[in-house]
This record gives sequence, structure tokens and C-alpha cells, in this order.
Amino acid sequence: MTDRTDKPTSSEPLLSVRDLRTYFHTDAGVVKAVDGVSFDVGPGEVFGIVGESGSGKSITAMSILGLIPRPPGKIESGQILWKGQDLLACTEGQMRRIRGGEISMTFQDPLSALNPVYTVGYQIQEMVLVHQEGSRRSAWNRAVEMLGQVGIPRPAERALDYPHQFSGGMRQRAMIAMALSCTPQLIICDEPTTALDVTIQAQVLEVIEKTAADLGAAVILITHDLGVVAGMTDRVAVMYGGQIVEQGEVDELFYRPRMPYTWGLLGSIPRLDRPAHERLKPIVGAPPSMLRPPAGCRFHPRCAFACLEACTSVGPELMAVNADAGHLARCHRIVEVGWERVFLEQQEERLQS
Amino acid sequence: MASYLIRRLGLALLVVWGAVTIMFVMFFVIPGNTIDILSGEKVVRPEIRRTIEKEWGLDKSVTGQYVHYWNRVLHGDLGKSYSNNRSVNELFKQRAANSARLAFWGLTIEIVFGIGIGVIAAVRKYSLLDVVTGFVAVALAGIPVFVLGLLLQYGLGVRPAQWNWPRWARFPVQGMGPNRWFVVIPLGHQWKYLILPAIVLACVQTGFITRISRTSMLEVLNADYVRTARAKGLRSSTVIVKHALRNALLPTLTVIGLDVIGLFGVAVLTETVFNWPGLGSTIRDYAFAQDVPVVLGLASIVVLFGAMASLLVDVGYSILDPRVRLTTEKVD
Repeated sequence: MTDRTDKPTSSEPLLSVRDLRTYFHTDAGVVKAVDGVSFDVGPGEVFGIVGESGSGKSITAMSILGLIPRPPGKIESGQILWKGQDLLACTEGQMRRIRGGEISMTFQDPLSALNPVYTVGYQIQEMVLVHQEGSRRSAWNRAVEMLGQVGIPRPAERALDYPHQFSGGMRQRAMIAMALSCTPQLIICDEPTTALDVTIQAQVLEVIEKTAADLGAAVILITHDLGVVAGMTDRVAVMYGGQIVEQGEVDELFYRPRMPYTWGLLGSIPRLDRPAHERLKPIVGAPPSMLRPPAGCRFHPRCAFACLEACTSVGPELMAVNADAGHLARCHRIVEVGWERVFLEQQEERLQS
Repeated sequence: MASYLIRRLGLALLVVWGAVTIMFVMFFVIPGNTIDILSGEKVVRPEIRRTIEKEWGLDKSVTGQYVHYWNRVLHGDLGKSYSNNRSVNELFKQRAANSARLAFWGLTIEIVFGIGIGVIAAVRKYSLLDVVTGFVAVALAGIPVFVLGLLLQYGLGVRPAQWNWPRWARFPVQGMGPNRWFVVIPLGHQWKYLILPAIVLACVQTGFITRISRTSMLEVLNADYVRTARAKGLRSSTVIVKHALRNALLPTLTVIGLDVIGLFGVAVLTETVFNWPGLGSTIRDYAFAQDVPVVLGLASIVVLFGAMASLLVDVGYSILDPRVRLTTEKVD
């Protein structure tokens, strides 16, 4: 997939999120769940968004589809350009056509995301009927066809089953079948593997990759699992505290990360090539409260490298590190000479000790 | 399914048997002798007393009377009234339809307004409408039936008559008028007699159902599958009715089921206030006279209906929610 990494910059992006700010107005105050997020997704591209719980990844996705519950949520500012059209300025009717028809989404926990009182087939058929011309019969056939395509055995029979009669992996497959049933150009997968066994995870990812590629659909893959991102995506954005803290092509980001948070994430993955007794290196501390985010760099309270005065007082901008690979990072210290060596040296130390 | 239903039916009959037995025993435990009550505490000559006792089977032991009673009931005879010799079967036939019609409309008002207002209040959460209906619902649930009944009678019946309002704006406050019906549909002016008692009968439970359906609707509107439904591009009306409401109905249905039983209790008061000749007011009248056969007979039928209503709720549940299966078999 590396052969088309220059696509998003050279051609018109399919989706362009510009300085998106989604706030929740709660009794306790304003929660800045998404605070100035910008990224582009090109046609057919697989874009990963990685981050801890509460980093704003799901809210970003829901903002794109206009699914933020309001009140309390509100998109304060920014633009979401879908093929040049600003989704935030769309009417509800226009959004309905785009939801499911052009951009579709799968959700984290497929048991609660599928309606318990309707059959799986019916729930897909219902969506096909909204977006495509044709009879109930043909919509049903489409549902069965999609279930078959995502690898559900005996799809014609299983379409008549209710979600509770499916296993966890099959439910996630059904969600993917539903999301792809109306041939969208973009599918947003919110934590598609979180609730699944590891063996099933790989199968589900393969299904997403294969069916999306067959349709030529772009994918936004939201996850907290860096392993998933490494294997599947073209470009990745790392989110922390409602902001993108590092973004770039997947290889660049994994091999030459610049942001200490990304280092922390990479350092905390279990690896098979390390001794089994070696302890994982967690990122100390807890994610910031988005009600009162830390002043300066949002990561500084947990950052082992936050020694500049600016770290605690000035929020760093997202700065270009390597323009060719679209590599951006949000850290005051990346301008320092030899900064990129710090992470590598740290890793070598770990290897030696 | 069939085996489940048979089992539940058996349980329902057990409930009826238990209720009848408890009521039967109660009539022997409470003070007062039947003949004294019937004679109005006058002195009755012993030989007359014995004749009466023999005629009504009161000379037998409690167990003997109990066995005798069941023997008659199982042969389809609920017995005769002590006080006026009327057949309980006849009484039931006369009054049951009146009760059923009133209950039908009370229940209809409850369901339509209770669920309707509850759903709208949930969808427009914290709006003025939500706040107002919430207040009214709590008030309705709290007002005693006889107070509300009298208020309505005064405001819509008595006052309009005193002020010479046009006929259409006046409502009759007593009785059931022409008694013209097509099954449960009131014909001609019948609706004017029906509407006030039906409203009063429904009010308490409408308040409850409004609150319950609002709460469960709010819960369901936040559910993931409702978000999925919106993400599919469905209209918000479709999302609310098809995806949210059907799930929200489940807890509401339980309340409605219990309510059918409660309806008979409320009906005693409503029928009394409006002089509606139904089962409730009949049971009350005869209970004052300690007329055991009538009370026992009518009350056991009410219990039977209640048990059937809860059985219907269970069947309704299995229709609304495929996760509930009415079988004793193992679920895969």
C-alpha cells in the first residue's frame, strides 16, 4: 500500500477535517473533548487514529457523521469537508443521505450497537432500503450477500438470527457488512477489535481490509492498539487530550517517532522478540481531565522530557518534522539537535539492560 | 411455547385457588354471624335459624362448606346471594360488560396518553413540555380517585348546569345513561357518560406510565443501537419509533400488565363516585352486607382476569423481545 502514500497530498482529499473543536457543556464545566483536530483522508486510504480512552478519537468520528448528542455536545468550530462540501453546514436531510450512504461507521461493542429486537438481516436490509432503489426482496438479498462477503457461514439462514444469537466476532462482522452494504466511500471503524479474542481480531481486521479494498472505500480505523495500526494503515494520527500530537505515514511514525507520548505508547507494547520476564514500560500517570486540561503541553505532567519552561506554559503547535512523509509532531523539543536519537537510545538501553 | 403456556395457565389457576381460599377463610375469621347480619341483628327464633342454616349449608363445618363451595363452582355455579337470592352468575353477566367497557377505555387512555406523553417528554428532554407533563403526571398519580372524580363532576357537570352552558358542554355525573354500545364502542350520547369515569379510572396510572415510559425511553435513546440507527441514515422519526420505542416498551408493558389488576381496585372507587354499575361497585355493595357468595364469586373472577393479564404480558414480552423465549428448553 506504500505505493499510493502520496495520494492524499497530490489529489483532492476525500475527507478533510479542519481545526475541529467539539465541546461538551456539562454541569461541571466545558469538556473540550476534541480541541483543534485536523487531518485529511484520501480516496481508498486507510487512516489510523490511535489514542487512550478519552483522547477524543470516537468523538472525532462521531462529529464527522453529526452524531454528537446535543445537548450537551456541540461542535464549536472547524470544518469537515467531505468531497469539498462542509458537513457542518449540511441540513439534516443531506446528512441522512451521507450517513450510511457515503460515510458509514461501525461501533465498538457490536452487541449493544445492534438492536436486540430485530434480526441481523433486517437491520441491514433497512439501511439498504434507505439508500438504494429497489424492492424489499432485493434489499434482503443484498443483506445476505454482504453477510456472506464478511465470512458469515450460511448467510441466508443466519440473516434471520437476532444479534444475541451471534458470537462476538460474528456480530462485528455483521456490523461491517452493514456498514459496507450501501457501498460507502469511507467507513469509520471505531475500535473494531476491542471486544474480541486475539484470533478473531486478526480475522475481523482482514475482513475490513479486504472488503473495503474491494469496494475502494477509504477507512478510518480508530483503535488504541498500535499493533492493529501498524499492520493495516497507510497513515496514522496519535491523539492525546483531544488533540493530534503526532501524525505521519505509518513507517515514519513507528521508526522515527518524535513525540514522547508516542514513545511511551510504542514502549508499552508487548513484543515477542523481548525476554518474557521483561516488564512492559507503562506511561506513568493518568490521561488528563478534559474538564481542566493541563496548561502548556497537555502531556507534560506525564512526560519524562518536559524540562523546558515552555512545556508547562505554552501549548506546542503541530510542527512539520518530515514534510515528505507528512510527519507532524506536537512537542517543543523536536527542534533540538539529535532529538530523534533520544528515543532510539532509550530503546537500545532497554534492549541491553 | 405450548408447554410454557400450559405451565403458566396452571400457575394462574393456582393463584385463583389460593385467592379464593384466603377470601373464604377470611369470611369465617371476621366477626359477625351471617344470619344476624341478614336479619339486621333482630332476634331470630332458633328453629327458623336452623332452617336457614340448613338451606344455605351453614350448618356444615368450615371444611365441609369449603368443599361444597368448590363443588358448586366447578360445576359452573357461583351460588346465590344471601341477601336477595339473586344468582351470582346472573349478577356477573349483568355487571361484567359494564366493567369491561369502562376498563377498556380506561386502559386505552392510559396506554395512549401515558406512552405518548412519556415518549414526547423523553425526546424533548428538559423542554417546557417535559417539565409541565412531569409535574402533571406526578400530580395525577398523587390525587385520590374520589377527589379527582368529584372535581371533574363539579367542573364539567355541576357548574356548567348551574351556569346554563350549552348542552354539549355539560357532562352527566351519575350512572351510565342510555347503555347503548357496539361491543365496547359507545353509541349516540353514551360517550358523554363514559368519558369522565374513564378519565378518572385512567388518571392515576397514566401518571405512572408517563414517568416510566419517559425514563425507559431516555435510557434507550442513549443506547448504542439508537446511535447505530442514526448512523445508518434513518429518519429520526424512524429511529425513535422503530428502534427506540419498541425497546422502551418492555418495562412499560410490565407496568401495564400489573395495572390491569390494579384497575379493578381503582374501579371500585371510580364506579362508586360515578355510580357506574360495574363489578367493583357491586363487590363493594355486597361486601358491606357480608354477602359471602357474591363477593367470593365476583372477586375470584377478578383474580382470574388478573392472572390472565399477567400471562398476556409475558406472551407480549416474547413478541416484543426475541431474547425472551417462552420455552423450558435450553437456549443455544
